[in-house]
Amino acid sequence: MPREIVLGNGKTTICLDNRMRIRDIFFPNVGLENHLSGHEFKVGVWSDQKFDWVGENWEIVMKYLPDTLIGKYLAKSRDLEIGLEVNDAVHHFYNLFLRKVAITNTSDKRRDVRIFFTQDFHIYGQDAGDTVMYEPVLKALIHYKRQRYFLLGGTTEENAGIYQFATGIKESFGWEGTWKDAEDGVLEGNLIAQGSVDSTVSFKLELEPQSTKNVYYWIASGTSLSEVKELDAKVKHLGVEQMLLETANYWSAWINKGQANLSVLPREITRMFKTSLLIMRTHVDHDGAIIASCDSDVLHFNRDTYGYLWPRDGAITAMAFDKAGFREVSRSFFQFCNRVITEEGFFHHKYSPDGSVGSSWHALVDSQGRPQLPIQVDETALVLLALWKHFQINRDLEFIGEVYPKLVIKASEFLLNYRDEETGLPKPSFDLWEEKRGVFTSSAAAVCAALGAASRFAKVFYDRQRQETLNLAARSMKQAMLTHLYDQKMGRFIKAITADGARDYTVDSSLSFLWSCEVFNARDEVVERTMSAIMDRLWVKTQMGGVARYENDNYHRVSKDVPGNPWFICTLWLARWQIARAHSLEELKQGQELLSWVVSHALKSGVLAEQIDPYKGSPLSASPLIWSHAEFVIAVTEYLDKYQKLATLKSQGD
Amino acid sequence: MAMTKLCKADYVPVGEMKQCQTDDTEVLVVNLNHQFFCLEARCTHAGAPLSDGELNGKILNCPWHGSQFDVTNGRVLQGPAEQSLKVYPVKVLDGDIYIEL
Repeated sequence: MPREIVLGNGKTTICLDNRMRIRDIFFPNVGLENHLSGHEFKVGVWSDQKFDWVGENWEIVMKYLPDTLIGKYLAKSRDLEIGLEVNDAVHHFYNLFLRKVAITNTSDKRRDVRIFFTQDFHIYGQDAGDTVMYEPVLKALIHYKRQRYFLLGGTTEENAGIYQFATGIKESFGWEGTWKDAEDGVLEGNLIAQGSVDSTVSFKLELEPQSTKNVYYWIASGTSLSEVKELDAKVKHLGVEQMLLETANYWSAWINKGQANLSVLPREITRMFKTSLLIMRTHVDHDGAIIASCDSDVLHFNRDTYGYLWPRDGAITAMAFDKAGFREVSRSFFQFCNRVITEEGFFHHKYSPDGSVGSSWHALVDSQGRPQLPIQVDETALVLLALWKHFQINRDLEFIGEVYPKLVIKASEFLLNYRDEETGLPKPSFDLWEEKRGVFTSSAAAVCAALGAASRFAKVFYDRQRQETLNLAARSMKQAMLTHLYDQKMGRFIKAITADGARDYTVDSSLSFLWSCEVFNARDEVVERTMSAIMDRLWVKTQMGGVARYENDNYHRVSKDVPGNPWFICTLWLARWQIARAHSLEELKQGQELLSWVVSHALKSGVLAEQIDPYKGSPLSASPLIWSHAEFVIAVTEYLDKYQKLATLKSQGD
Repeated sequence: MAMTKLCKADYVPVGEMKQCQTDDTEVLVVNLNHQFFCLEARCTHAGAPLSDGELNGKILNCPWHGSQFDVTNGRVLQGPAEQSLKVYPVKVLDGDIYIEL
């Protein structure tokens, strides 16, 4: 199930699904330790001897408050005659999840209403060895294991604390969990449980007909008991209302500090632009890693998640942050990269946010038993290219000076050496889709651009010999791409030369790297013909539309009647190309239409998945996917730059 | 008092509102049937961006907590906001909107 809302502060990250259930809690790093491990925290309501969990019988709308990382949800149950208005946030500074629930009795009689919150922790991602206990002085529940503590507290607007609670065993010995205990409206008050445990708390309200009262609930996360007690004291002193306002204003100030002049775009696109940046921010760890997705439901697909930093995704997201004016975020990413790059000068497949090498499916030998470097060479190249883009925008020479000796020199020397002497192309590596090994046009474009970027860095530092060597290598690689990867007969670039030397003619949207990495001009005939093939062969001809990754894409395939499922990033590459090649404001509209396509296929909250169902439009695979949001931000900034340029030209012409 | 040029009048269509910026002030511009009103752009309750709210006739709804304001005079029609929005004097000259800060 996709994540409708993601909240976070770089240390605590919380994701909710479209039934208002908390589905992921990461602490203290974004994407590393998931203390729910695919389980859920639910909300339930009891009144007049009837009980229901907020879910399929409820009308639910979940969005963000504009310009903030505050969730705003409306949920209504006709059966219970109850309405809920919920505001959720992770405090921008403290590791506190804050929730305000305004409960409305929509009936015409006075009622006793109880609201329930369940907590199904799997601390460190495992259900064994947890403890949950009632803390009578704080009137709170505390879940803990080793160095992870989670305190659950709450109050009503009349300062009545938790009404009842339950702690108990779950998922073993026939016990389902304390949530089952809630369904009769009463919790038994067991004081402590250990092993595989969960808990439930309730709050009691007397509600007049057609009246509303508030309940406040919080989860403090810490590495010790004293830390969570301190946070509990803080929220009790300041109040949830005040801390929600602080958080709303912090994010509103953050998002509006960007320099982009959005006024020429329709409101739905500007709102999506800001929401994208905020969602991207929730996936940036405090140590600089940019996580691909915090949606842990993909666990069910291959027993692993998207909770890693892929240097490619990170580099593209860093470019988006830079283009939108958030250089401090991209800078922490480059510092992370500077720490983890190998001595040899390449990046591994992916990394955990603590800097350790992530899980991988790329083998150290090929099917013939020959040794191979298990990397995607474009990942190293794109970090270098993103760093150059960062410098072009920010001109922060002192910062670049810090990372130049390692990140720039080592990476560029690796890329220089990782070339085939005969062809001048990069040696074989895995492609950006992480599926095949060979010499890919997209990877070659990224490497060619990175060599050029490194050459320009060398010029900045008056490193003349290096500058000349790198510049020559970049120019030779561009020529090699035309010689070996461009097919004269077809009049377009091919996807790859495979590991066994065959030419792969599959039309692949990643050929967009040719112009997006600025190796070729968007209007160059070789690009025009290649992009025409993408539009012709990869546009999904259903009511949904959008661009598929490549012909016969089987990943999460829904139907063989379409080339593949529409992907947001691939559709946005087409948008960016339309924008890049526009010579008039009229031509620029084609790009804007594709931006609107993206907005219309996002979740109501603004979340963009990796791909969508080609018939239903429902999200598929990880959701949100930060790369999707980053491409949207880049496309919008490129649109704004182009609009400004074309409008100026037009006014001069007038 | 000097007037400051804010934006083109046709930038804000009839029945719509947009946020504009002078050197250091955010201004909400509202076009009510070709009559322009310029107000402070953030809610006096909690600082919400009012350009993301809803405009129903002359009533502006705050997007965060639902406060309502009369855009013709800035007055609060419904809380939680208690303080009126600042309203700036407006002039339209040659298709440009000018305000007095």
